[in-house]
Amino acid sequence: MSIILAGRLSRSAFILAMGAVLLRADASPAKFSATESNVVAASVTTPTGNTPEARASVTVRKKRDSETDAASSRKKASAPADDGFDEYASTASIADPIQPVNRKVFWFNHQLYRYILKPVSRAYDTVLPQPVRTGIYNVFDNLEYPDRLVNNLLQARFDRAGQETGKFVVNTVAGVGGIFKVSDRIPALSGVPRTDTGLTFAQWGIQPGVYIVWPVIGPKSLRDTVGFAGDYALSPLTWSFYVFPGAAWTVAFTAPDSTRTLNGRMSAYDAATEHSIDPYLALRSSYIQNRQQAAKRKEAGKGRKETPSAER
Amino acid sequence: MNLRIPAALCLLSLLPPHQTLRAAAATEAAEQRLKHSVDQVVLIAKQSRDRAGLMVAVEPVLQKILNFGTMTRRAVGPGWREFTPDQQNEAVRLFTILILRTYTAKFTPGEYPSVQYKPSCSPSLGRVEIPTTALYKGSRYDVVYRMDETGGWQITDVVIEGVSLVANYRTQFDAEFKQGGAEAVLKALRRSVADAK
Repeated sequence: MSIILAGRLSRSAFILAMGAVLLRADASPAKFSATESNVVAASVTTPTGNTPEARASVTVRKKRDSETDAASSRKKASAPADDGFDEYASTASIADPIQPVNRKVFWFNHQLYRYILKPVSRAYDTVLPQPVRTGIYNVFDNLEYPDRLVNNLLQARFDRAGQETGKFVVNTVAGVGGIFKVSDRIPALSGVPRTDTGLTFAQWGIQPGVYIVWPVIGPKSLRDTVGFAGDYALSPLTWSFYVFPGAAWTVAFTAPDSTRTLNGRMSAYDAATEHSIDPYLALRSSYIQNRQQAAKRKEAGKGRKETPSAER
Repeated sequence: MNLRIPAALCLLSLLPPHQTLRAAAATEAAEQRLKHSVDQVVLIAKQSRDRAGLMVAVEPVLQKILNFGTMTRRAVGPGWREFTPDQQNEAVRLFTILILRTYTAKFTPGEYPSVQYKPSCSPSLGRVEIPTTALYKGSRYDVVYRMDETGGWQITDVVIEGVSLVANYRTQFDAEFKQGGAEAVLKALRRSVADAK
């Protein structure tokens, strides 16, 4: 009895702690974008976002930027705010209160990628030719249909839900179980943006929360972590573990799925962190910008193409 | 987000007619320059045999079309005012090397992207945003080129799948500058440049 109580208390404490972290992080987003001590006040009061005042201030600042280009020697002058220097201040900010922990996990992941996952990915590329890799990728991508369908419905995008269903049917039937992505040749069914549970939460207005670097999986915001759990629950591969329990089946189903996305994830990781000053910050910045863009594409409502890199 | 301005709200559609024409002409000019440079780079990528040769051949083209001074300035942020002219020059020189490496690392010799241009947008006079879709090695990427008119049109930012090159470095430079000012930024730059090659 006391064990059960202790378990319940610790779980509640954990949830409260997560909630506290989430709320605290939301309350002070400006802290992480205003990093210059000189212009803290200016950054905080600079309007951000897409309101008319923000656009007007951007236009004004850009005009001033072109004027002060030549006269950069006038440094000491009135410098409260931007003469075009601070344009990128709030581009890629996310609360990062557990940065020391994140950095350690990031270092661990980096070694893992470098010494294990990248060689595996290269071996995979050597053993399997491109068309075979594409075929395998397409099969598992097709299988992720329930996740995309449910999320499109939850986002009230019934048109895209219909498109996804059409894609699934066409690719499974005409594409022999999903191997050939026949739907790409049908204009009405191609170019449907990818979606996942994390983006559904974004559309519902839930804030990203704090930045967490998970071992092996990599960086996720708190919102996307919960989203990842949702995607896991919606994946037929997960369901199959319950239908066919046993270690052999687990390996059989996860190995191709993990290795097929490994290549893309490794090259995305390299693109973000190679030639960077601080790979941890480079990855964090790339991650949050990419997710912000993916969330925005949902709001804009204009269907674009499926992009492998806008992954969770 | 200061710079993410939807196409519908671009200045192009809000200007009075005679200025719209001028802005449209400017956008045309920017697009032409971009297409010319992209075509040159693609041609070089097609013909190159190895990575080193590719880098050497592509560099002059990139030097002309990328405005490294502006990129460095925006990547450093307001702290740029506290750099001495010597420090500024060195920062630009080192940052140029990093960007060139980043850009050329994406290309594999013999493989080249096919680029489709979408309608461009002018968020303010003197600036143009040109969205494109690049098909490379079987994957599609959204790439937006931001160009400024400084004499001729030059690229001042490349946004790949929503990730802005300058914003990425801004985050990193901010942290360095907060710790140790201009010298810390330069030290970090020197270390990065030395590390990679």
